[in-house]
Amino acid sequence: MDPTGTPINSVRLLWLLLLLPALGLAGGDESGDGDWRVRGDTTARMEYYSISGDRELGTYAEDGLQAYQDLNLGLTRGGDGEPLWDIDFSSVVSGSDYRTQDHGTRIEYLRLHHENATSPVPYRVDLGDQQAYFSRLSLDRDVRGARLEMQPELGRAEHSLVWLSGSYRRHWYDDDETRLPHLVEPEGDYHGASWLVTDPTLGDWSLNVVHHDEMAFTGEEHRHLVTSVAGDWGMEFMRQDLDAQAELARLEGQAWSGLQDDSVRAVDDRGWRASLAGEDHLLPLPLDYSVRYERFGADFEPAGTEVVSDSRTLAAAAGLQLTDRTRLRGRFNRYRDAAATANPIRIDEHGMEVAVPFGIGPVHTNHRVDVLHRERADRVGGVDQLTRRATWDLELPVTDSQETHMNLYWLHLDDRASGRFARTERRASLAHSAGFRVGDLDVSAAPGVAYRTRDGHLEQHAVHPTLSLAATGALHELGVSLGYRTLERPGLVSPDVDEYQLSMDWRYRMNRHQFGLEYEHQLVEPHVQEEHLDQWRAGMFWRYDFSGEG
Amino acid sequence: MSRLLLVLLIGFATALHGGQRSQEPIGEQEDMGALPTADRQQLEGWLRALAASWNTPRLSDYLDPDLPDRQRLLGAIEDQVPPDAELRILSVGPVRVLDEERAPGVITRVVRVSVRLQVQGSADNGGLERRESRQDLVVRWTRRVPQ
Repeated sequence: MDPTGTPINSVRLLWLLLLLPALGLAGGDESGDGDWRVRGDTTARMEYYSISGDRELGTYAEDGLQAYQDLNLGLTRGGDGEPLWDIDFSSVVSGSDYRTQDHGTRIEYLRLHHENATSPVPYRVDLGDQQAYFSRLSLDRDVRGARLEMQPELGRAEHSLVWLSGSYRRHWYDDDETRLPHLVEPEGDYHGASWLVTDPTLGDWSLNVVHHDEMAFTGEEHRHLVTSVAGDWGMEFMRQDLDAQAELARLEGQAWSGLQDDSVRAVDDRGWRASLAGEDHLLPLPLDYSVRYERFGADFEPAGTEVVSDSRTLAAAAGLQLTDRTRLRGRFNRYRDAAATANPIRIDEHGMEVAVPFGIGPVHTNHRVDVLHRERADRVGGVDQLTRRATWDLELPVTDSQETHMNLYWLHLDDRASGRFARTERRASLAHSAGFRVGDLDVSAAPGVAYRTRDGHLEQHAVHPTLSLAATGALHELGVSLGYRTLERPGLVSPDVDEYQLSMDWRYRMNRHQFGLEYEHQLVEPHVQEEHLDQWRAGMFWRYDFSGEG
Repeated sequence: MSRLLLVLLIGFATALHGGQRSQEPIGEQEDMGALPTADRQQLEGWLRALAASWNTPRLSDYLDPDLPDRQRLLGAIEDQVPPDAELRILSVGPVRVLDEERAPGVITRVVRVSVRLQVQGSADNGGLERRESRQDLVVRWTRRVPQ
């Protein structure tokens, strides 16, 4: 990140601006299937940030001129039974620390898509940036690569065969490498095949085989071959409308051992998941329910997935809809982390939600109450916490255009192991929104106040009143927002402060063009410290939509 | 870096799928679709409302009921995020329309949008912390249109 906020290269901007009218002309034409159809938009944004005083206290970290222009361009040809070609492209010329990590020109997305249903074997090809997804346990990763899918006709079932090869590199995706090393995105190469069969009576079944070769920022390398069988089928049984899913996967390969001399070790482990969701048609009232179980072995953590090894999850929920606005839901969740170690961590929680309307005479209100009980503990007694929480939401529709909303929140955490993290939190908020018409303008006003207090660990107390005003005309939109927050943090080394905020924005739309002006000011005054913070941001943008349909 | 950012990252690593891939017949897709300017402005407003709901009970209204580990995420935020922590959208990047369904009076869109986020608040050591990250969000929204 460039702390100086260098202005962007104006020559490149100009080049893009000159290109746009040509695209707009192409997009405005009535195109047949044999011609390219154009879609997309471009946005140029320029902002100036001024920060003086103690930067730690403020919202923004970078000051000076921050500007960028981005371009989203799509080209399509064919379709409607004919072979389809589609190109999707996004790029940005950035001199803004708030838009990209590094300044300069960056292609953010580029994909060529082609599909042909008229060939003897219908096929689909994707080249470039795409989400590589086979199943939850085998492959789920953004990659830049190639994907070929064929859908041969073989009997009454539908078949889909996919081959995919792709890679992930941090600099392609503007990833932050200044985080703690274990939080930086790993880089990797992924190759795999998937065969999906959809049968009218037997449901969807897939066989997935993927090779993952991934290198973490810390230097740890993992090479995995994952084979999975997944199924998904719907059925009716005793007037129950059921959807069942299951997947079983095996992981073989090499993982990082953590040892200097022998850094790689062989791994061979399994993971599986199963779920059932249903709707009851037996009872006179609508009832829905679901249960899900996942169990992943100590070494089962396929590199290109979101799976966390050595864990178990049991999640169950049920809901009863008594009337249009009255419902009852219960839930139970049980998690086990580091399950195969000497000190596993368990989390057990159950909760209930009740939504009910209540009216006295002409006053009608909607209420929602949610209560929760959660225990988190390990085996040796280092962690032993009990959390209880209750919330109450109240909606009071005053008229068609006015509504009051109130929320109360209470949480108590009992740290039975050390007492260090014990705390009680109380939060309350009250907000009102009113809309009315002034001449040709739709005007809205929304005053509100929020109160938050926490006693115990990281003690703090805050009061935060706000007021938002907006006016919308046929072409114009104007918004103003005011806020004040007093924040006391006796449990922290951070200072107690008073914050004042003002923000304004104006939008104007003219055919395919949109213009906007924004201004934001923040003043933070510490109660004891001398140095306060004064910062403002002024910005403007222009957006041009050159899509064929405008 | 404290647990604050970790919770943020878990929170918005939203998966589009929870099971296996689905059958998408070849030849039925006509166009990848574009997002009109007015809808993009609406999406940006919605993203700011989502960010404002983070660290409040309203966040559960925004998360997909079928999101794997939805309850675990909400519990982790509740346990680990201090009251003064706020989430802010710094900039909105490319938007891809993944799916679009049109019915009389209603348009339902599924889009994938890349955003840069900033989380700010008290860290475990009692000091202030401000961290940024880039996240891809999958957003489904239904819009009523005049017939």
